[in-house]
Amino acid sequence: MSERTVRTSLYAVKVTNGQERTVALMLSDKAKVEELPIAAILAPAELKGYIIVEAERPHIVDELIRGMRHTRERVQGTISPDEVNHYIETRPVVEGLEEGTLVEVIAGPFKGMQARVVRVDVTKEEVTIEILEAAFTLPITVHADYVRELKGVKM
Amino acid sequence: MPRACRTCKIITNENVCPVCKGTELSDDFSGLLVVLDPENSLLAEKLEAKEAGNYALKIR
Ligand SMILES: [Zn+2]
Repeated sequence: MSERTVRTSLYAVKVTNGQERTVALMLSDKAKVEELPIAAILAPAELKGYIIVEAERPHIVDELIRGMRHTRERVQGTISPDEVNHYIETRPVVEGLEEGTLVEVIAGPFKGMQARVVRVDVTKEEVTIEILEAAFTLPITVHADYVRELKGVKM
Repeated sequence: MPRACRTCKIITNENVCPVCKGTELSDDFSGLLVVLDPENSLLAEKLEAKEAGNYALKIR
């Protein structure tokens, strides 16, 4: 499937908490200026105190971070590509949601309640739902992240 | 103010996405993937990023 010719690995680099994004941008500038063979730099919002650098060899990462502010050290070893999949979510958030799908609301003021999907907006990644436990059905529109499909239940 | 394309996730200051020419841009995004070598990056492949640039990981 892949046509990549260079075999890269993923290396974690310890950085100052809260500076992950800034460091990733600084390091990418350095890689460009010094023409270091860095493939990519990943800074997920959920990952505190680390960034992930993709390169062919660990010494390239060491060269990249040498003398740079807010960077501590490269963590020994490599990270399995599968470990970063959950940071890079390409699955559409509305996947599996359609009119009639029963969902549980997992965030916001209606958290914990069950609802029925009445409309899906794929582009905006929004769903319009009716809360089942409400005294009267008032449709509300929320981001699709706010609901989770109740598996195997359709109305 | 930078915004992220809802289609290809690239972060841009323009009103039109420089990659897909789409106009569905969001200022509510998080996470960062800097793609320097799209041909050889497995992270770029995972995100389906075909051009160098800064990409958002999650877009609202
Ligand atoms: Zn785009």
